[in-house]
Amino acid sequence: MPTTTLIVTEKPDAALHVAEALATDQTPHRVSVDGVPFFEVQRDGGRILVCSALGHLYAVGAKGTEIRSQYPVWDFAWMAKHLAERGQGRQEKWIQAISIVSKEADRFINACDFDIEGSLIGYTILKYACGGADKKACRMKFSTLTAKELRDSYDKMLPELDFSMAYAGMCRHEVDWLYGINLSRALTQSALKASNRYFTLSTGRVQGPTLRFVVDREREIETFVPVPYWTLRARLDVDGDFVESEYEFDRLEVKAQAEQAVSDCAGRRGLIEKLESRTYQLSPPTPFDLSALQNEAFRHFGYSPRVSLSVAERLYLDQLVSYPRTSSQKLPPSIGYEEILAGLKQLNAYSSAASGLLTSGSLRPTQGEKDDPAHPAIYPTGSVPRGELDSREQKVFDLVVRRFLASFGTNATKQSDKATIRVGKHAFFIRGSRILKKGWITLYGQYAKFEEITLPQLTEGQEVIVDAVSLEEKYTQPPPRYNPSSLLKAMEEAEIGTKATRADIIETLYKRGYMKEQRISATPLAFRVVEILMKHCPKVIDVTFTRELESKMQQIEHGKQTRESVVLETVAYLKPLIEDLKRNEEEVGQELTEIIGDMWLASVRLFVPCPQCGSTLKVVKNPKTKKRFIGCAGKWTKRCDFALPLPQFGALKLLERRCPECGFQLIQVKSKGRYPMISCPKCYANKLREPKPSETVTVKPEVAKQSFRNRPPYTPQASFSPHCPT
Amino acid sequence: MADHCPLCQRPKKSPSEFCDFHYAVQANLERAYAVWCKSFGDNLTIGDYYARLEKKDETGAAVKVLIQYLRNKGGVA
Repeated sequence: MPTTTLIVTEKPDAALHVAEALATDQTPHRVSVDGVPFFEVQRDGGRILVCSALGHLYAVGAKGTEIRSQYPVWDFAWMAKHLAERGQGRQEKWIQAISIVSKEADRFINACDFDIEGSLIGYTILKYACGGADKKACRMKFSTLTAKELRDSYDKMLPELDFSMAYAGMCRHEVDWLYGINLSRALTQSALKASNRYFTLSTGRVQGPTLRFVVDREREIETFVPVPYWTLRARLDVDGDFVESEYEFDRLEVKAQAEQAVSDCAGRRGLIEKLESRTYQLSPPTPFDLSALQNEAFRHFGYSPRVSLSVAERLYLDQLVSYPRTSSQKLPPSIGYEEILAGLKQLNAYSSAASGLLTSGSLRPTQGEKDDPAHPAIYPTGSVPRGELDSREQKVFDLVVRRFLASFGTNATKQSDKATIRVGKHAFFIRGSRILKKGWITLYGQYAKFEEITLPQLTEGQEVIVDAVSLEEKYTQPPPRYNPSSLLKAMEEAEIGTKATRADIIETLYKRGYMKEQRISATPLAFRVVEILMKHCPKVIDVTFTRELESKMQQIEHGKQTRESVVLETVAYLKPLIEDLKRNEEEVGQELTEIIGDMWLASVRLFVPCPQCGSTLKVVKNPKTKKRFIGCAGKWTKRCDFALPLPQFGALKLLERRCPECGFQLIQVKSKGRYPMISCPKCYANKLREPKPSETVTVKPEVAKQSFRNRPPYTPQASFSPHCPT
Repeated sequence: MADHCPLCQRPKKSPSEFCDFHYAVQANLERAYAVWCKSFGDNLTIGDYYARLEKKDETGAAVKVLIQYLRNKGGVA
């Protein structure tokens, strides 16, 4: 009896490639169910329907009716993503369509990417949208989307789903949800209640320790006290050739000693005491795992880890490179070295390098230490790009291809030369280096750069003249700031996060206003959040604790831990912490209020222009007196000194209304337990400039009724003027 | 004596007049002074030391704030 098979893939492009690979003698037939595309093909007398997810269609959400401001929350369930998160309406349609089509199917296959996330995406769709089909579903495992590999993977599919991977993924999402929802809500709600201002604050299991890296580094930089040292260099006259040499000690810590060395050596004669030459073998670079690719792409092109990953994923979906989310640095023979090189030979840029390797006899790539049971290292598939690649795709593709080619190269040989010159009791060194045999360096092209320094002809015992000695005063440097690439590396070394999530976490830290710029600096908000977490729940930002949890989650993949035990342990650990935060909500809120107020101030602009120079007006806080006022953005560019005073207490709001008397923008100030006071800063300033009135201030009755109900008696000196009508 | 750090208003660390953070900055400043004295010779005055540090880009922002405070407080040339 003919069968109907439903294959679930992760993305629409992958669905098309799977359908094309499995269609025996015709192009896939595109069908649409409620606007959701499916591909239909015939194979071995049966019908195959290929659908795609849109990433995760199911997510963790709070059980029952959820009030978004409430915390702690411990009861959760897996549910359709549109029910768990806002703005996911498209997913609802997708689930319905898959659910309808699944009723026609009697065989199910998960063909999502073979990793934790892919296994989980397929598992949840088969379990929830396909009426429990997870129990009878099979699993396709592949590392590239080439037709050959997809067909192989279909023919040799695993008889059941990779449940341990899916459970590990579920656990990761559940634990992250418990951390994120409770800690982030605790921070956001504390700040909201104290400042009356909504500001999304977040932290999480990996986000917290990562932010701490940045804040700790910022602290080191802020508290850094440089100390002096001196370096010495000498220009030597070697038979008329002038050569730069370095002093025997990298740094001299006492100025008097350094000056003594200068006077001992300047203008003196020296002898070449020793000549040394060493040759080194430089092994080819290991094949790319994801973090090595991200580091190299940052180094050469300045791409952030997230950009590199998304470009690599695009190349994967275009069948040009293998699956990029891998930790492996190994290329097994099963990927078909010769076939790939034959494919690359078709491309002009790599033609000669690929031909050279194909005729070299044995093809054995360098293998790195890191391994990943799910995927090999990143490699080009050998397919020729179908269309023109954009600039980023072209660069990352070239990097992947060059690295692949270089990994098959022979060792390079480098010679380094060192001459020791004795000048009295002092010694100087002349160093040179050159590449004797290029080997893999040629294959890696522009990505392998070595500076060659050729020394003049030297012999031992030869006399030289110290032509000039330069003494330079230097200072120790603070530790370098992280950049997105080095921060990702730090996360990897600390074993927190996964290859799939690290880049996103870095982006989130930028988005939340915790850090800024490429050379990352922590903002005052980051300092405050880390301080609060250190005070109330230090383990949340403790790397060791996060790493232990990470390791437990990895053990689920290998069947050594259960998802339930890890989740229960997390809840037991988090519960007292969150309850403590809740108890101290007021204190936490107070600690966040000032900083949030400052951030808000920095972001607001008035809609009326500066009456003096026409520039934008903004609310500014004097860093010394901490007083807020309206200042002109043209202060530095146009030397405009326009400023207006503002009330110093209460929550400030700029209204979208103009003063009926002078047309300036109105503001509102609200203090706790009092009615909002609406006024005009310009009229108030004019009022202040008038001679001190002996008469009383006239307030229109309706304004007074609105603004001063239940207020203490009005004193113009102490509070803000209600002079303007509302 | 106030209960708060004069530089950031956080609770002070006894017996110092500063909070934990500024206390650590002060300790760094004092430690490095010994190194500077060794480097330049003992005739380096503390005022000279502060003046040179203030001009250096490498000097941390919090160190500069502390130096400013110590100057204003008096006792430093």
